[in-house]
Amino acid sequence: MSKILIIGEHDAGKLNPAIAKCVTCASLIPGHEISVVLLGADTSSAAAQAADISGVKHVVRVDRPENEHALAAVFAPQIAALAADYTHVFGPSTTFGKDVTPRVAGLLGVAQISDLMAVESAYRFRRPIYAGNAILTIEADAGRKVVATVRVASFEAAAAGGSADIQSRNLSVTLPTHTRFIGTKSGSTDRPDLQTAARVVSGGRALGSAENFNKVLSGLADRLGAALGASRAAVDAGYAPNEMQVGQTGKIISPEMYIAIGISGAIQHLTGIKDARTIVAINKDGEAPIFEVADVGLVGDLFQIVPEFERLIGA
Amino acid sequence: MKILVAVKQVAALDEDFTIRADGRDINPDFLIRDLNEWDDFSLEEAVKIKESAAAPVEVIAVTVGTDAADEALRKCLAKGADRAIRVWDDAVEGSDPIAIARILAAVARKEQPDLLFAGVQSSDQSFAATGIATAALLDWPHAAVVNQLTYTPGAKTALLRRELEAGVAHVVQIQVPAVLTIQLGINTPRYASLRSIKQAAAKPVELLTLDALGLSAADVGEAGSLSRVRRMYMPTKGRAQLIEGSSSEQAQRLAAIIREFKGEAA
Repeated sequence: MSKILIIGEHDAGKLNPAIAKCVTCASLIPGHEISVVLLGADTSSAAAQAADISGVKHVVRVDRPENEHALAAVFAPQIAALAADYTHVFGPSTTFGKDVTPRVAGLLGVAQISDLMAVESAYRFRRPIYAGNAILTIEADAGRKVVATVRVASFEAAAAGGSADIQSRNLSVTLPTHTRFIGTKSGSTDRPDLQTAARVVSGGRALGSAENFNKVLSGLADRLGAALGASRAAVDAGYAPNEMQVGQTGKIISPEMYIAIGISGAIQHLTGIKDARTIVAINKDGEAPIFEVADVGLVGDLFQIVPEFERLIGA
Repeated sequence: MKILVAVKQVAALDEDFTIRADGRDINPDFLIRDLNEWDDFSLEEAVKIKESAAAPVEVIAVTVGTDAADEALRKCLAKGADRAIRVWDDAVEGSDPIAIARILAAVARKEQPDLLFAGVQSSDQSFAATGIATAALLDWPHAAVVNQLTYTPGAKTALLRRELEAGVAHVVQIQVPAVLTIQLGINTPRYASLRSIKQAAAKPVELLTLDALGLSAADVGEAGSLSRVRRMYMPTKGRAQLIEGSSSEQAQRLAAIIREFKGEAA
């Protein structure tokens, strides 16, 4: 049997939606028994949400004051201690997961397998390399613990309606005090979060300027209730801030709908969007690689098509 | 004060490429090699600290690789690194991130830097794990995905900002020595001048063996790795259904598709 421990990301009493996707990934492992661990000062609310995910058998709460903020150096030794009871430890491929999971792997003396996109067996997985140009099947040593991050864009969220038991654990682990949480800074946008938005409107270098980028895309994004994204080229050209970057070098997303405007589609961008349910591309170059992943393509002048399109859906 | 910057000579695919005979990687003739783009930013961050400091700061670039990786190190020297170290031994071939981390941790123990920078990830293998695993092995604090850093050389702590999702960032104070993985966009990497490129070509690259680091062949390479590549394959490509017509016809069709998608009557 494979006993899988998922590191439960949560903030302000809310379980991160990435966790339900990690559960789906874990549930593809034959003979799985899935646990979710939550570390925090008071994880009662997040624990109830984790217990409600279908497929989760146990929820493990590790509540102590030192766990109030998600500091990797504090969380990792506790997760490494818990790992003794499990065959696999999975974290989400979010910033949190990228912070904590490799440290757990390091403490356990194993290499992390990053960005699992498919499960072939308990020890065989697929992951993308070369910016998504190639996919590897890799096999982990069955004699050792598997520590991995799950590429959340590759998996649907597991359904609600689970009935896991919730248990509290006390761990006698000495915690470091070398990292201190100072605060949280939030962006000043009213738009949906790029990472979790159901719809995303994204612009590329063809927009030509920061002014055009905002003029052409903001209204459309607002009408569609969409998050706003940008290609690497648009960010590098200064049309949009780095936080808006979509792709392997930015956010890897899987919205219901992705509308790529003036984006030719460098491979690293395509890697970041290919799991979107429906991809619409508007580009003047019919040979642009974006049309290889798009479901619907419009070859033409974005400055004519987009304003007209915005007017029509606003009507 | 010392900053160690771990860098990697990464590989990108040429336009046309073939898979190696063993089916586990790309034929090396079709790989284009360059300094990992994240490392450009972490090196710049180190050089910025050096340039703004009152006391001397030494920036050391370190890589694990064959002599082909000297090119990446020379790029670092040309952009302001003071020294360059390359670790290699034939036994290192096939190392996974934990094996590379063992090597980097050994270099850090030898050099005793105040800060160790690594890129958030490499653009080819994309593990995003090596830097942080190094911190775990050293028992140093770390912070991943740093997009803003304030550090005065000699200070006991650094203040930094980490980029999370949803436009949220965490601000964290961390004791040094520490490992930071640096995100794209934290600064604007400089271009090396022709003169500095010429000067860098004449600078030595220090070569370290496993022996010199107190490591053995069993710690690294395939012997020290826990996973192996079975097979490589290429993702399939599709083709979009194209909407033809004038701009206004295209916009109308698209609007109809979106309405349908949103569950409204077309």
